[in-house]
Amino acid sequence: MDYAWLAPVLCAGAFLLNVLFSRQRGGRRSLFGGFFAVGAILGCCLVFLSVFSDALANLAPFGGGESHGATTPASKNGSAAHLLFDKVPWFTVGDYKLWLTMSVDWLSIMMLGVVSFLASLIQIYGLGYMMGDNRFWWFFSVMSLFCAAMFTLVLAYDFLFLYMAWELVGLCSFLLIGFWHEERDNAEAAKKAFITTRIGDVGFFIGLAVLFLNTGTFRMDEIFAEIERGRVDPTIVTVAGILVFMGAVGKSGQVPLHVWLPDAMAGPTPVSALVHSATMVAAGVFLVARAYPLFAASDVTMAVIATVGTITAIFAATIALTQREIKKILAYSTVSQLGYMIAALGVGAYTAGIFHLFTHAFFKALLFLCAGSMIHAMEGVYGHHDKRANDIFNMGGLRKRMPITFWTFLIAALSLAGIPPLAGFWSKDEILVGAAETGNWLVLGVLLVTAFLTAFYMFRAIYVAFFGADRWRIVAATTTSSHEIQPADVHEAFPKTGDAHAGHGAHDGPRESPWLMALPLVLIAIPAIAAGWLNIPGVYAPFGEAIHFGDAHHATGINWPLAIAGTLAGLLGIGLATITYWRPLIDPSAIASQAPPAYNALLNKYYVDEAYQWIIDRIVLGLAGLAATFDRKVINDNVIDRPSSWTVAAGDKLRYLETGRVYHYAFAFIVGIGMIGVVMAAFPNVQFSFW
Amino acid sequence: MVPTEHVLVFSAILFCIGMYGVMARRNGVLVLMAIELMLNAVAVNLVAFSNRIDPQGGSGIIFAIFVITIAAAELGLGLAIVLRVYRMRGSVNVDEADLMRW
Repeated sequence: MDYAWLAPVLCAGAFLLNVLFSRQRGGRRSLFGGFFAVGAILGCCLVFLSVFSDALANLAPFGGGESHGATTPASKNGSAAHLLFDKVPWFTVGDYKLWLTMSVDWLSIMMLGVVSFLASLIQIYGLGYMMGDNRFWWFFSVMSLFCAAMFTLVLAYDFLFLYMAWELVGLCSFLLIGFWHEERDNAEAAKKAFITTRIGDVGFFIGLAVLFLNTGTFRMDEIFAEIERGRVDPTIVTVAGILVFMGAVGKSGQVPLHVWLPDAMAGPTPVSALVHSATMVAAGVFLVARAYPLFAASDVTMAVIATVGTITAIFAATIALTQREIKKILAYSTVSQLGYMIAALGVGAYTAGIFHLFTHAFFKALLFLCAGSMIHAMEGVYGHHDKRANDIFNMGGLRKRMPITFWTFLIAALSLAGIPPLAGFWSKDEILVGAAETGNWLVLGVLLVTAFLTAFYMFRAIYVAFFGADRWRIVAATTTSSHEIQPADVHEAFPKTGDAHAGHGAHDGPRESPWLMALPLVLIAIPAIAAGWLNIPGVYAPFGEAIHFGDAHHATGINWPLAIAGTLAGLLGIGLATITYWRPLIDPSAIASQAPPAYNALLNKYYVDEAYQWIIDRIVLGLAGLAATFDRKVINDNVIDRPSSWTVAAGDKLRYLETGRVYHYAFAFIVGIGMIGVVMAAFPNVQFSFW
Repeated sequence: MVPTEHVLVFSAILFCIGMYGVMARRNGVLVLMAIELMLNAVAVNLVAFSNRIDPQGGSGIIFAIFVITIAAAELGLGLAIVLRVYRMRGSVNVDEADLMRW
């Protein structure tokens, strides 16, 4: 347990090794990048296993109870935290010495496990997916750095250290989203992700500053203790809470800062899988969980969190209904599910929110990897980096051709739809129960509707992409590439070198992906089925015993009405999707044409991007133009240039004093001394000082 | 014993003559000589005060010797410059050496 810090160090080491030794465009040396990264992350899995087994024996699982060794009870924050180190000096500002602190508690152990498990499988998958890419080594370098940052983030025990890791996570996702930055869209998406999350981070940082001003420390336990003892003004607690929550809003793609998440699809698919499951977006929810005592101390903050989460859940789910690109559908699904988690944390269902983060990480990573597998197969038809390969309506009939992808996708989708006994059911049900128990009926209702919508759009994707006719035959023959390259020319235009790309071509249609990509799918499918069984209320719930806030939530049993309602919502969604897209009893385009404004609003994502663009164009750029004009006309012309022109004019006159005749200078010199003498004689009592 | 005041008046007169020479003369050599006069006026001043304030010690006199030594060195340098100016312009008139002006 004391060696948990090895996890970030291993990954950071892999990053350094990559940067030093595997820099090469293409070629064999570039491949080392993958081996270093995968080796490091597999090492992290071992670290996790040893930490986990040690924690089972030594880390108090029950709230603030018996603890061994140098553990400190982290106030009401569920389990005890085991300090790894807290006296590593970082820097000194004024009188304040900042120490790096790291700790392990059950929350961070859970995150360690999820991140190391998913990241290692995703990176193995990435070996296959990225094979043949020119910057293979760079992909794995940043992946390693990404994991290192995430591990640091979950282990950090003071907010400033956490913030540093937080920003590092943001930087890495920027680098990965813009991985193919040769294409302008991708670079724009990376920039958007970076700037949008930065807006939230400003709030986060101000919140930290407010907390520091009022408590004099960045240490989490000390800050929470101060708040618990009521030493901090409740208003300030609320303000700081909302500001810190802004950081989570940005990172976890909550409304209104969700716009970057769907665009983050521009990165390679393994990146999307990692960003959307265990790392980037999980960081926001993790922060809410980490700083929970701060939020829980104020009802207003909690209400804000619950509201934002609930709105996000339904908002993103409705957008996902009309999207055509497989990764966009999954992206909005992620936004929606993050809304679920945030809403759960907001209504006080702490365990449920974290549990959903846990289960969601698995099935969402699986969904993205499946999507990557599908796109990879479709690129065999349409050509590399062709936008048409992402559109589910350009797929069709993939079930027979890609059985592994189909079955794993189906498992993950059922899990996401909340069908028992898959993982998603248990966590979603927990959230619904949490909302009901705290009397948030509106939240409960909205979340139930969201569950229905979730099931519907997931099965829409399945029916369209995996069933039906081989639409890709027609599409590939009748449309031209988004790159203006005829499909037939693709193989000449993009000579493929790696194993993964060899063997599937335009003529024999999409094929199952190589085992390097298929194996991770199967392995992740296992927790996507079973992860939920760790917290079955009343039966077997070690998860809830380990991670909770306040007293452990001892449910006596399954809340049957809600479990049935949640399952029914999911089944209804699936059923509706079935009769719409499989046996077309309902024509979706007819519904769409009946209410064009509503349909267009959904198709255009409620025009949020357009609204932001309008605000930037009209208001931000307008104000910037005003400021620029003010700067140019007032500051520059009148404050800077005018006095300087006086100086120039004065100099122009005064330069004639420089006659070049020595005795003129001598005369001025003597007159000056004479004047000083006169002044000194006139004021005999004044002490003159010339130096 | 000559009173200090007399010596100071003498020194002041000497200084003014030197000052007049610096400002009025056009010949470079004469300007240097005038500067020498002013330096000597200062040296006389130093000796006079030394004698008045501390008749036993000789610090002012030592100082005066330093001034004379440095003045000699400075004069050597000054004359060398005048010589160069003469070589270049065929005249030692300081009015004509006025390149460093506006």
